[in-house]
Amino acid sequence: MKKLFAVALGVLTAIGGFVDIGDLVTNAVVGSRFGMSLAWVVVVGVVGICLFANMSGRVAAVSGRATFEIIRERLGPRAGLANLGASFFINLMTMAAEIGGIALVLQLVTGIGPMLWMPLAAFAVWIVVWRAKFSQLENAAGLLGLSLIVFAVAVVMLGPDWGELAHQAFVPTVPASEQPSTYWFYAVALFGAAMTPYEVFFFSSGAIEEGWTRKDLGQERVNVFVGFPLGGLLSLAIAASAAIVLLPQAIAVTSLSQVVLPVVQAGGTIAFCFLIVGMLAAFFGAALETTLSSGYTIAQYFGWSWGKFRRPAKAARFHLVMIVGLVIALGILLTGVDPIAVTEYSVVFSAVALPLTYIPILIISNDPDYMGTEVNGRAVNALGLVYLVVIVVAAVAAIPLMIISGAGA
Amino acid sequence: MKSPTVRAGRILDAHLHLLDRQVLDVDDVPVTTVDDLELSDIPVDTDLDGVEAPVIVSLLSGAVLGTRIFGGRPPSTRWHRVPWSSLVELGTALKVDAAADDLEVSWPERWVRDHIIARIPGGRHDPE
Amino acid sequence: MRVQSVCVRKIPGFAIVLTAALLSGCAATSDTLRDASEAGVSAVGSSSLALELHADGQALTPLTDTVLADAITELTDASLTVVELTPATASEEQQRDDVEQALREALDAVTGARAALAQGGAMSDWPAELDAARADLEEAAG
Repeated sequence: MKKLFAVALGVLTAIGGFVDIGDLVTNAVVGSRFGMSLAWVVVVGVVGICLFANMSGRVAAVSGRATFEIIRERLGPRAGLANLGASFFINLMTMAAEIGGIALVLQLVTGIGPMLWMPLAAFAVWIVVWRAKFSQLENAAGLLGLSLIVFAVAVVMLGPDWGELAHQAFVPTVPASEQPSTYWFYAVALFGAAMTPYEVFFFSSGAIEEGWTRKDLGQERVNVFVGFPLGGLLSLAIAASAAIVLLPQAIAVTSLSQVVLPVVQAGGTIAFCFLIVGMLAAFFGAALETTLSSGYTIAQYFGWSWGKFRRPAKAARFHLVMIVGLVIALGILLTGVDPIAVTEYSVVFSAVALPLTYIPILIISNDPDYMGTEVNGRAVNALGLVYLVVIVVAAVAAIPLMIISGAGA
Repeated sequence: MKSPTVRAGRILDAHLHLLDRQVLDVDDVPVTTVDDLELSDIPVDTDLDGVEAPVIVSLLSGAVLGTRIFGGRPPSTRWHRVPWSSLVELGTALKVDAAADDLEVSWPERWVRDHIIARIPGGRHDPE
Repeated sequence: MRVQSVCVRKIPGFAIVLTAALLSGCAATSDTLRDASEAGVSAVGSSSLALELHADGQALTPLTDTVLADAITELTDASLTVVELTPATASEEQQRDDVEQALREALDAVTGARAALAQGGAMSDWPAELDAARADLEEAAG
């Protein structure tokens, strides 16, 4: 019974923790402008993240080492430094996006803000990172994030034409009001939002934090292969809600307040409350994860002591990096830049940085020095190589598409 | 005839197995990564007959990483050393026999701890 | 295993491609006008939807107010891009003036609705004004 509970907890936190502001905003924008015609990208992205999260979790559980430590060891300090620079920069952007998201949600509730809420949100993120136990923060954010299921409930309550939605999803076409270059730009953005690089660093460091060993691999597989696809379904529900309500009225999502409207139309104030709780939990959880990732990547590259399982005095530089990161992210937000714009850029740049994260994982999970007998099987490697091609194509195409389509204007 | 300093044992590639490896202290707490190696000197511009092969004197950390990637060399008085003799285990990570706080290389960690982290309330406590 | 970086050698070629892409991305007047009026339609649409939901008791006041505030920002930004245009022909100038007029109409309607909401008073004609502004925007886009 206790085992079942642990498994359920793992799966539920994986579902609730899947969606962050990048997923929410990108799926809503896509739903409101393209309907369900980009649903296939979500599927591709979910399969990809399942594949690589599993690989990085396995590497951590079997070798006892986190991803970034191994990147420097196997690829050398130069490649590691380039990787670190890019990852840290994008992580910082994502941190700013998530904290900005928290502030935007608080604005929806109070009508005040959002600049007023940003320092508060940043401080709250720091205080939790400083004091709370790792498993506590993961479980709380993940379970409360499940509240986002209200999107799926809303889609059902709106009584849509399922045939129409299915047709859009399975026969993807570019709508008449949009350009093909914009379509493909959003395909790359959606892909970057689903396969967030920080997830891999966080997942593998988290495995070390929780002391995973080979025995935990079964649980880890269930979390990933059940939890993440269900999280992907949630992303599709967000897109569907926008497609049902906003697309017919030519409302293109540019702010968080518009994302909320379909759910409010479906279920009124009660649905709104669930949505607020879900969004706060999801964005707060993602803010914690990105903050910790910024600490993990720098500390692991330089070989510093790291980890939430150690008291701050025993991992001083790790905590200092996170404090500095939060201050910089807050600084970015306080310049008055629109958090939604930061979000949209962060997912595109995430797509550009994907090869930096995933190529090392693929290499290391094949290295018998670290993995012993648990190296990748042939099927995993074949799929991994296919995804490598997709990832490199997306990364190379991202910036040109951004320029040609005017960042999706 | 083999020189008396050659012993039987593992053959390692310094680049592969030593550089950029994690150094752990006696309690498995990470100390630093190996940024560079200090080798003993051999005389230049002379015959090498009868001269012993260079041996590793210490593991280096700190500013030497920047110079290893970009070029140059900080003066040897500025190097932060982990003596080779303190090494007890050599696997995917290198383990030394001292506690992290007792090692010279951990001074940045101790500095940040004493001047910043310890000053913030809750810094010395375990996470609750 | 080392990964060598060859990026440095590829920069000149990349710069040419980048410049070409940037130049080709410079929008024509009609494109800018179409984008601006689409943004206007979207902003007015969200405002109308939010007010409808508020009238039905579905949406709370802070949420509705935020939707209207975001719509005002979007309309203001769209107006700025239109005002900065320098039309080449008389018909383009006419079209620009139409779009500018329609955007101003929409901005007035949303601002008025937001003020009425803040005063807790009745919405009176504002929803109808919004619909009229939306129709004008769609027409001005051509």
